[in-house]
Amino acid sequence: MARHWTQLRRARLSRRSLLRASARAGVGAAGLALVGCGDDDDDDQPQSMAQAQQQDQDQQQAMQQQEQQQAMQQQAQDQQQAMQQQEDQAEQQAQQAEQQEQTEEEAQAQQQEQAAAADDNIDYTATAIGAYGSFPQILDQGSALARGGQSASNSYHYASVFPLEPQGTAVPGGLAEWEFVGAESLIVRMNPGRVFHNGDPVTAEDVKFTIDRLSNKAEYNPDYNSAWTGELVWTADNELIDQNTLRIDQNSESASVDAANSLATGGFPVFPKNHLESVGDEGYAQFPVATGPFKFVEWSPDEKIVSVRNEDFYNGRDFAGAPRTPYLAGFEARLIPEIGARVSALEAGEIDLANSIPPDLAVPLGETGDFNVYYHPAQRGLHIKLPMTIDEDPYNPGQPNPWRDKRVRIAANLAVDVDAITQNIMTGRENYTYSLSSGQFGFPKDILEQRWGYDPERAKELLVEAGFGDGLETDLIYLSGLYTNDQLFMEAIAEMLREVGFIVNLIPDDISKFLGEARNKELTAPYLFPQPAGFTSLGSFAIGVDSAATYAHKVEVLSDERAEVDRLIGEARAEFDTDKRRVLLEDAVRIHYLEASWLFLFELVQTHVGASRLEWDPFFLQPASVELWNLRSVKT
Amino acid sequence: MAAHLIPRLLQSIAVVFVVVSLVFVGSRLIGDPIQAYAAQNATEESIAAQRERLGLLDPLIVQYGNFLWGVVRLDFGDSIFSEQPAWDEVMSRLWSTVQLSLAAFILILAIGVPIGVLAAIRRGSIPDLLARLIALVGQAMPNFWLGLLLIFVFAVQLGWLPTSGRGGFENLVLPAITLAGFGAAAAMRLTRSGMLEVLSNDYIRTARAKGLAGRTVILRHALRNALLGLVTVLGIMLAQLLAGSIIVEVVFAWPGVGRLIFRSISLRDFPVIQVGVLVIAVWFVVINILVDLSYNILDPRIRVGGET
Repeated sequence: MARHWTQLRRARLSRRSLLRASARAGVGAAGLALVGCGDDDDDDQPQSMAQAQQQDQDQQQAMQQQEQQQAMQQQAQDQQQAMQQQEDQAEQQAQQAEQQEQTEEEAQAQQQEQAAAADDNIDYTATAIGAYGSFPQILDQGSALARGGQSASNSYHYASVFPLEPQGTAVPGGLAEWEFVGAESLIVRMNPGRVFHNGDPVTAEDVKFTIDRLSNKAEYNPDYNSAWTGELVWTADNELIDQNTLRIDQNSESASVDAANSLATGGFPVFPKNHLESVGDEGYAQFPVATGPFKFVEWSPDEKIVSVRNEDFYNGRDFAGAPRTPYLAGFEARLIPEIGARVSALEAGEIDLANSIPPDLAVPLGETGDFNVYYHPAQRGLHIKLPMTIDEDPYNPGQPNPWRDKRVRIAANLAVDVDAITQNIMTGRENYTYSLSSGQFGFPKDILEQRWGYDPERAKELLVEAGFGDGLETDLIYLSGLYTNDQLFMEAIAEMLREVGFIVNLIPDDISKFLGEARNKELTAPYLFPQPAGFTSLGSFAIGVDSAATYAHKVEVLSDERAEVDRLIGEARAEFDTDKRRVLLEDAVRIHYLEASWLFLFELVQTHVGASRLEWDPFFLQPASVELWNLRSVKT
Repeated sequence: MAAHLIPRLLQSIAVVFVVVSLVFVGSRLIGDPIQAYAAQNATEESIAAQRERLGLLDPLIVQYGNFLWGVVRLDFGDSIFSEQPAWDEVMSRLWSTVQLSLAAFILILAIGVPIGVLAAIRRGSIPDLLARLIALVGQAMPNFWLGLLLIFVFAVQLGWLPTSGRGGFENLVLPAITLAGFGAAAAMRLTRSGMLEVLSNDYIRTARAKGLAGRTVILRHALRNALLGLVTVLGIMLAQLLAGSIIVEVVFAWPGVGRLIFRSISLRDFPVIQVGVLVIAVWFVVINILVDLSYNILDPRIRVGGET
């Protein structure tokens, strides 16, 4: 901490010196210009008529000279005045700068005092117990098995290669630095002094091993079941240059919008090569050794996961990115599947943090003053996928699918009052989604002003225009019981659609059956989909927006506009110029929205409740859950 | 005895075989486990590789053959999710569930039978009315609701007991009461009705006429005969406690077999489902055999081979 403030002090001094120097330089330059104008050397002349003439001429000349001298004197005076003014201004600027710096210093000092007071108020020896509704099956974050279903994660044992700033962009200073070479290769240089939980240094060889393992290409076990293959499709090859340097070549057919970000994604693990090869996948899955802000201590499956602060964690608490060194000395995660039991355990003081508590239970707890309620946007944007690429109407074989008609799709969007649903059924904090996510993440801004509003009368008119004045029958499938109040808001959506002329059959479904059918593109009806929007960069919008997405309807027919969306995304995938790629993706997303390709809904909000001693202000705009490294226990 | 027991054992093996076969087929019908855990942007290649690794690409009959061969060797393969042997996964949680079930069973016996007897011998009195009311409430109230109610009163409000988790004796109290709630009420009603029936028999009147003490008449002559009908039900109850503890285990975060099976079903973790159901089926069969054997002890008139 002390070194940090010393550095700031140095920065302030040098800035002040710079300002003064520039002011003096300005005055000096004006003086030099004045000296350069003074050419007033005189020669002696003979006396005669000619002399008289000469005298007249001389007088005239003298007068002229006098005038010139006067003019020059005036000029000099003006210049002197100007110089004086400049000096005054420079001095004034310097004084202002000094005053501003003093103000800044005071403000910073005040902030420092406040921060110091806040730091003094934090109990760095405190531990906490948090309860979750689900647990990972294994503790290896690289395995798909650890991320199965809707399980909670032990991602706090891991830290990505690069840290992230709040919007989800990689920042320097973590395990390694990066540099693009020619746009097609990424050079990763390890920062010194980074160690795994077992004390082994983190090397470029470990990063290479990690990428190979997560691409299912590691020599020790090519059958490894990686959860990250999709995120690493942009990697074509990687070469270890030396123990501290790795070169990763991008795949020319599927380059990454943000290659660095792929390695910075929250929870992206870095594995210790030697350790993992010695204990094997099974051993590692039971006892993870990684680089994260918390060290694993003990695990009782279905009961608890015990961890302690990683005292060797390299990102300090004032680091620009995250994760950072935790405030809590330790954390115990407990599995309490039943929501009511989680709340009871919190009320009884057995736990300090109850994760994923519905707002109707969380808000009253917060009102007692004994608990803090934490809200944050979930990494899931809800929308209803419309079967616009399916040729025939499943209700009227031989007839074109009505969802291919843009008017029908717009009518559906105009029929649903999303804001009323979020205000009355959800927390009221949900943001409307324009694609996979709300407008706050690098979205093309012009679409925000073209939002499909709530206009049921226009929706009715559009249905009549499309030839469905007598009603349009459709199934509407959704996953039941997966998200807070999902049954309620789906019934509300169905009812709103019915009010404008849709004849909706609402069908709840089971998650595994649904996922299988959706992945196999067997569903022909509109269905609710909670698309993860974990990547906050624009590139993530491409996943799921294109017709060939994993979860999309079968493609039997493509409108010109949809074909254009696919073309733009395909072109973007092979474009290495980040700016060009961004424009391509923005164009794709814009068409996707304006074509009313989906029924756009909202971003889910997660609610958690903590004991009053626990404070948490989300660092990320879209955290996956409560950021444990950022959870503070205040002294009581 | 052996002549009676051996056919019973063979019959039981057949029952277990049928049950596990049905579970094998049923679990294949409910969906593809790969869909439950594949990452959303997993490539088709990685999904296909996992199906192959788990043997899901083999014809169903081949999978069934492999499964039966595994049953014979007590090798059920690894859990798809934890990658630990499925047998170990179930066995590591079995003691938790047995502990909870036995505690609940003891409560059923300790609460249901005495109150049933009391209600019968004081028929029509206030204790009888109270017992019948308690039995009605106990049977009508869903156990997850009873559990939450108990947590609220005894853990949150009074702070006497922990809300959830497995630890010392105090952690066992609330889940055991919750699990025993329905069974105790049922046992109470059965004991009462059985006792009332027995108490109206001539031999009870005769015993009283002989001048035997009331306690002796109740405990030695009436209760022993009334229990005969109750034993069958208690046996089934004990078996059901093991299998039916799922909800209680979820509410009280009790790390037992019930919750493991419940989770495995939702994740399509076939090997664990199969082992879990096998264990429960064997448990049922064993309890039934023990109930049969107990008849011989409780009623001397019942003899192997039908002697009277």
